[in-house]
Amino acid sequence: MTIRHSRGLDRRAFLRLSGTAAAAFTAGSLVSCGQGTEADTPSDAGQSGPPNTEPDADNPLNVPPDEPLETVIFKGGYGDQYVIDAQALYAERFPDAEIKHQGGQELGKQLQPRFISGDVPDLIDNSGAGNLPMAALVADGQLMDLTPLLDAPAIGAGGKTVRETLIPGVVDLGSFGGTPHALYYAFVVHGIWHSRSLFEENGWPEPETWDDMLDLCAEIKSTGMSPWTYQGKNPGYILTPILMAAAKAGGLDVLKNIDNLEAGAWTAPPMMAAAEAFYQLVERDYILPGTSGMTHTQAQTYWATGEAAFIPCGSWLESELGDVTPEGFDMVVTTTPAVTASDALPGTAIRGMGSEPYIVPSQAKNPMGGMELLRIMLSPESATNFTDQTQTLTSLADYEPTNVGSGLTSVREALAASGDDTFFWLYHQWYSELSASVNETTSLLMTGEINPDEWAQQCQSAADAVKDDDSVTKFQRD
Amino acid sequence: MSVHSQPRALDPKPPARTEPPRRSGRDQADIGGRTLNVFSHAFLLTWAVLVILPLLWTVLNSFKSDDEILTSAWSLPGSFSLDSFVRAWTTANIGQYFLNTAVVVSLGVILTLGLGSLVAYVIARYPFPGNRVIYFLFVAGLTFPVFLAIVPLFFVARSLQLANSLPGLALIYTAYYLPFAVFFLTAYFRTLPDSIADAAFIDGCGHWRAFFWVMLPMARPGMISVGIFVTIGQWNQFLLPLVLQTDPDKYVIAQGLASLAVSQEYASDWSGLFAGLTLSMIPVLVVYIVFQRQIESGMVAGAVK
Amino acid sequence: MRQGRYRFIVGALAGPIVLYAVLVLWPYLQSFYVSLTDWSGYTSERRLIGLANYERLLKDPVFWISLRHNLLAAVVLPVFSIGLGLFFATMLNVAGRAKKAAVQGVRGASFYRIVYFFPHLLSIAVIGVLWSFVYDPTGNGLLNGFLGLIGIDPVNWLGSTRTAYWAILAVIVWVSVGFYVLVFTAAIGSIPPDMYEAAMLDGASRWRIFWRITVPLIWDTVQVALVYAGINALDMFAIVNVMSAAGGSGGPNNSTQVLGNYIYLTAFEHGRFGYATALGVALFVVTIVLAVITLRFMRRDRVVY
Repeated sequence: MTIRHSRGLDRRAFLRLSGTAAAAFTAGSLVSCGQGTEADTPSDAGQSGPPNTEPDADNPLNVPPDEPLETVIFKGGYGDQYVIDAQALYAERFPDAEIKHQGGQELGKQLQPRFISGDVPDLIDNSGAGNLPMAALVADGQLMDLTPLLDAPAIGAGGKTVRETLIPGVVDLGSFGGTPHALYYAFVVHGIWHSRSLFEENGWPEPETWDDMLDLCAEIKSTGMSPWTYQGKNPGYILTPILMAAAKAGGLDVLKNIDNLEAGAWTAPPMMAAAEAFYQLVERDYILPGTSGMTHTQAQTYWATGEAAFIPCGSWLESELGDVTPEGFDMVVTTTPAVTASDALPGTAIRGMGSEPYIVPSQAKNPMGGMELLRIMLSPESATNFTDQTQTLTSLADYEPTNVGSGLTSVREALAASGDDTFFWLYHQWYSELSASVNETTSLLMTGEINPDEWAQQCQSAADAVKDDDSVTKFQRD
Repeated sequence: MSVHSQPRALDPKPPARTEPPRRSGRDQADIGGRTLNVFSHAFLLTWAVLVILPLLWTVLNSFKSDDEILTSAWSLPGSFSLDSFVRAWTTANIGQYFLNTAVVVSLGVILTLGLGSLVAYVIARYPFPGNRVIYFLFVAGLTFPVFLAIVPLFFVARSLQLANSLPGLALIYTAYYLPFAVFFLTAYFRTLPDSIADAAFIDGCGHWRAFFWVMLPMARPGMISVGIFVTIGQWNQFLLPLVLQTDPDKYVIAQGLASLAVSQEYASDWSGLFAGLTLSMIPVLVVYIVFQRQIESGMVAGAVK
Repeated sequence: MRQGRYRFIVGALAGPIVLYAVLVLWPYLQSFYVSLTDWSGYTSERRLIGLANYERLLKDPVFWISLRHNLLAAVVLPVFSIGLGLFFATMLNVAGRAKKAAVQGVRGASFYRIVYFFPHLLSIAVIGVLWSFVYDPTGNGLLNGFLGLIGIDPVNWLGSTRTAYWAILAVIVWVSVGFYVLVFTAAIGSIPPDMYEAAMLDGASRWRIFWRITVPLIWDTVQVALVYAGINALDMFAIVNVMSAAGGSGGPNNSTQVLGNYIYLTAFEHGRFGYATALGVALFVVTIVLAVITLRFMRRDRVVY
């Protein structure tokens, strides 16, 4: 597979190619796209290359003011109103630009033929089930490098660039081999959730170490409540705290080795310590019976209705549960307890992750317009609007949402406490087959069908298989 | 109906028909038959319960509040609330997409049945070189995952101006449901007695006339059953419109319901989900029950005529 | 009589075949070509890599797991769905016993005919949600709640690698029995009632009538139904996709993985359209071979009457 993302593709080259794409399909012939020579000829309009270096306060990205703008937005838990609101601001700035908007689901299948024919929207929120596989798009050179946007001045930030106003690490989350191709608009933290009111009522402390956790679980179980549940049919949910605990135990290198497909990454001592720790929940029968057969909504609902005390989840949990959560439940998120006596990261370190990855296709007719809309969405005004609508943080670091529930408050506290120690991993978006494989292996660990040793071996061999597979485009992080 | 064109002379045992055959099953049967009857009835009833129970439960839950659904799955709703239906109706935009779906499906079903029966009839009753090849070409259409062909189909549809058009979608549905229709109708046409077709030819019917006036009416039970399956399949079709109908004005109902299911996944709106499920069942259910009499008499026409 | 025969054949087949060839076969053929490339599915770029995808397939453990599951289904599903379908269709159409010669179903036949068909009216998404409640692994689930009444502990139907696949197969039987009841009802409806009447007058037992009249006369339909059930068993994409995890993982740990779903994941989740299409071609070949063998093996002399 040709790796093209590093080469800054020319928009016109793509348009030209795309013209032949449809014909190629109907003719059933093979399109060889190797001829890159013409692609390097400069384009006349000058809108497709990097933005002008001349400062233009009103239009730093040199958006052609009358060029139409088309957005396709995943319409899931967050809806798409926040994008429509931002489009109104865009329309104020560029009244001559016609804006076309579509909110929907299963974007991958909808947009697949459009990517092949070159008739793509200018901005996509590539989220939800059935989305576009991002690593494949990057490997095919289908996504714009978002550096122009990141280097443009942010709105309402006193001269800072967009990059400087974002939560640290967000840019890396959307980077493939160092090039930012996606920008996660929403920012979530992952952790372990419990009901503060329930814990206070019973005098249960928040566990600091895994031993505390196991002690507490014994106590919880004695009351007849199950200590843990997780989103059984999507075992990636329970793998998350395992990886978090491993990262906290062994430091960031644990995660880097996994992302870089290093030999022995999954069998390293911190990984084993974390897997052992969570395996204790199985051994001691601390997991709500039937958990492995539950959908995420089922498990979360059982947790919120008091069947289990802990559940792992991202910070979307509060909005996802909606009215199911009882009055006064007071849900809070914490990071994983320390699984070793000498954890490498501070106790407060937590996993940060983006959601709602925004991408600008290389073949877009108005890529700068797409980036400009994203720049508007990352203004404090739009970010506040989003958080008020969704109870979810954006990737913008400093802004004050006006409507904050208990879950979001604890998310903000956890994130502030974690600070620069907030960590992340990338393998799941780089290598979807590896991700699917380790998730399923984890489901076996958590039902006791395999032990931590077997789990680590099987995960490692899945990683090795990807590493040895020449047809998979590899990425590196440092 | 066709009976008139059916040459009486060839009817094997016309006298058996002189008495109206419908008789009440209460007439005495032998003892062994009776035990069998009890057993069979119990079995029939069990299956009916297995089918009805989950459906009834869906409908009941659509009237409940989220809390009731989660805490007392088996109880009746405390009060019948229509809120969830209103929510489902607006989220799924059912009103607007209903008409589109009706247009596409009615056109698609008529075309599928018309073309499918022609092909099936020829394959079933006209041995000619290449007959089996054509048959298996259609059978092959049942065995390959449609989603793998969706991209080439998109480009074919676009170049033929079939994308984003309701008649265009109906034509595409027709093409994709032909294999199913041909496969089953061929079997039905084979089941029909040869004697009648032969008689029609002896009477001097042309091939087209024999098909339309003799064979097609006789195949009515098969046509009806295939028609029902095709209607349901096209009504619920999601993948083809998802890719081919990108213009929201041309959306069909399955696309609206998908958005409802997704919004449930992110918002735990259980009652809204059940209402949506109920709403999506109801149109087909109503049509089926309204036409049930016709379907019934068409399907068992041979048996009670 | 013979004149115009070929003109009729050509005239009848031309339209449907052109439509089918352009909209179905042509996209399929293009997909077959894709199986020889490394196409990701999202670009105009694809490189011819010969049979590499097929080599990969032979070494892919998930392919073999999936195929084994599919073949298991191809044995189990036809036996249950068609066995039950044939039994019910007979009960509902010809099993009613009357002293006077007459053919009809048992009492309540038309009620059962409507009810049995309900599951087939539902879209696959509805079935998925409905059954996730039936199979809820806690005591609150519909099925576990029922089992609890008779003192059986909750079973983790979809969460255990031992039960998950069988639980899904049971759903398919639940859905498809009504389909085959209707299919066979239509076929029985095409049998001239005189045949039954004559047999009944001769005092033949119901068992004998079933084997000597019903089955031989609808043999074409039975055969087609068996092949169709087999074809469906080799796909099973939709049901596995909605019944296993969100996004259709085929889990836990591939214990419910089937080819159709694996192909879907490979194409859309992993962005490997070339390889997915090679899997699709393999599925196609397996299905067609089994279909041809079944149709050959089961070919009986047609009952001509």
